[in-house]
Amino acid sequence: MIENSLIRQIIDGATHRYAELVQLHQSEVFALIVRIVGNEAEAEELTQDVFLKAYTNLRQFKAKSSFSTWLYRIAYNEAMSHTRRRKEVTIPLDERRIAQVGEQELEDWELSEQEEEVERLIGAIEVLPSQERALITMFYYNGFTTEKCAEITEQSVANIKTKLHRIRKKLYLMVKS
Amino acid sequence: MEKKKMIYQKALRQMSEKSLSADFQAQVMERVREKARRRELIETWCICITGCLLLIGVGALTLWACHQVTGEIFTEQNIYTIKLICTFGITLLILYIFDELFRAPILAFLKKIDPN
Repeated sequence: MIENSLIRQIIDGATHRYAELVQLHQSEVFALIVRIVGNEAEAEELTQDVFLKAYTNLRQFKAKSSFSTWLYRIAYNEAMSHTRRRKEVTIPLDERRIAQVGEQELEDWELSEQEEEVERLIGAIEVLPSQERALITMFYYNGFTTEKCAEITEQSVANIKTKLHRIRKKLYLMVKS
Repeated sequence: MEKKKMIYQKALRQMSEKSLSADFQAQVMERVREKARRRELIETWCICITGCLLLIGVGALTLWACHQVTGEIFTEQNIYTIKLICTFGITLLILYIFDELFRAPILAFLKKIDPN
């Protein structure tokens, strides 16, 4: 793979070629972090830290997964520790109410394209716990597969699928209430 | 993309449309270069210290060997042997440090004179 040979060259001393890796992934990494932390300035600072950390630990990258998965794992962990340091305001929802949401009503709502619904959905996403916000960003915005989400967050695929399903129901309830 | 996913995608896209500042890559690379410089310096020092320790070890071993052979440590011949080994080791270390410290500026200078 071209990316792996580029990484080899960087490890062997071609530091300037790291710019190519940064160029390749910077927007996607920033997109994920900004949606997790919610603040653009902080997100940019964190994105820088992620690339620096990736460079520092580049020798530990064993190419077992793709470089992007490895990089996103760093980004996810950095963003999570950042959000853990500040107190998050989230809205607790009754688990029974979440479980009661029917599949059909959920899917009907998801097909709605009204701007008003989208606006409400943005508000609901903003008050989701950061882990859940990260998950829906990776799956719906970055377009990652559940397998890749599982690798990044170090959880099982089944767990990711369950969580995504639960988040969809939760968002529906938050938008509707 | 499934149609039911569209609503989430639309909302997530609208959450932040800001892109990174224009000099983001330059800033990252500046920090990366600084890190690389520091790492190189640390590696150089580690090798120097290891070299010195090895030199001391070899010196001590030579002293011991000399003592075993002649029964004395500081005979003229023994001091001469130790001096020879130390000079050889120190020369190697100096050459190594010189290479590590001046390789980059010399290469940059040569590149300036002849870019090809």
